[in-house]
Amino acid sequence: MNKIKSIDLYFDFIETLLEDYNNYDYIVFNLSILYFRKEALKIGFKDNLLTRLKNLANRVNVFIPSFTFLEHKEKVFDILHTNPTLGWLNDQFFKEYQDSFKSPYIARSPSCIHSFIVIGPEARQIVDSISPFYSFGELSVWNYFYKNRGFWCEIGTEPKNSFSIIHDCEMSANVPYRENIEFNVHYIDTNHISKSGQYSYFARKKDISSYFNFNKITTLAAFQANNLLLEIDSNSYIHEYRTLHKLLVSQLEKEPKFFCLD
Amino acid sequence: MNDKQKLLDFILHKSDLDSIEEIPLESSLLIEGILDSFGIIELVEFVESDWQITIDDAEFNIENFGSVNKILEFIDRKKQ
Repeated sequence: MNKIKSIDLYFDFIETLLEDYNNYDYIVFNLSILYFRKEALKIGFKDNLLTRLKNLANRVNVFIPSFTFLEHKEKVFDILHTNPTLGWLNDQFFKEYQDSFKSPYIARSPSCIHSFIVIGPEARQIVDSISPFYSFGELSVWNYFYKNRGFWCEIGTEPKNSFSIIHDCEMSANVPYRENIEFNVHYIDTNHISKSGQYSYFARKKDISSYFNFNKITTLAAFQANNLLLEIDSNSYIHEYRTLHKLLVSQLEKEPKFFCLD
Repeated sequence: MNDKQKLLDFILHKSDLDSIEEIPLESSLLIEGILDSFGIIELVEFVESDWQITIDDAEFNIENFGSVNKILEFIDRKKQ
């Protein structure tokens, strides 16, 4: 039996959450259209989704993944023209950014791998503090997430498509199966000025065949959600970011290969 | 019209491609940019209605819908 999934249910919950927990700076929002199936084909679904996300951005900074995964490609990241490769929702906000990039209320974080569209009261200010040459660590967007108060929200996404937070935790725990690598990147900003630099990335070692154990990630995430916030359904979670980060790092420090399959 | 032809006709109609030969059989229609998320959902609805099968949420995954060939194998299994 397939459940009816109403997009309004999720947004109502998020808005209630933000009312209950004051002084939150941001929410990272990740949603799979596929999860909604028949509901997504109804007239008004697209407009409602975009409207409710924008309404959310009136009160908190909303981060929409705009990842490009250029590490295997040409390694030129043009912030206004390098398309995200994640799907419809991400494309919509990228187009919006292209149309309104001069506005202080929408911006794109500069990273040739983990870029985000930020909409909200402090969008430009947040992005200005992020370096285009670090995937993780102090000058990356992940540091903003850790230093500020916010939620990581996944609606209907599969863990393997959504838990990029795990890589930042792996770097914090300095896991043995990843290492810092550097490669040359050409970054082109909104003024069409190009800067070249070494992009630092905490990458999986070439001789390691192991990969995420997604079941363990889901179980750990569900444990977290059940105990501190709420599990909306079996594929959707909202975590307080810093708490989730600490939980994952602590797990990796105890058992560095916890998420590895072999 | 056989299952494969029927499926490829639908995909061609929903995509920006010019011919059936351009549709990849072994890779993801989503990742290859042949269909977007809404196109994939329409494809699932099409499979349900045209082959008169019910697809549970749990079956709507990359193992069953990760490529044209996987979809055809899935339809075969569901028909049995």
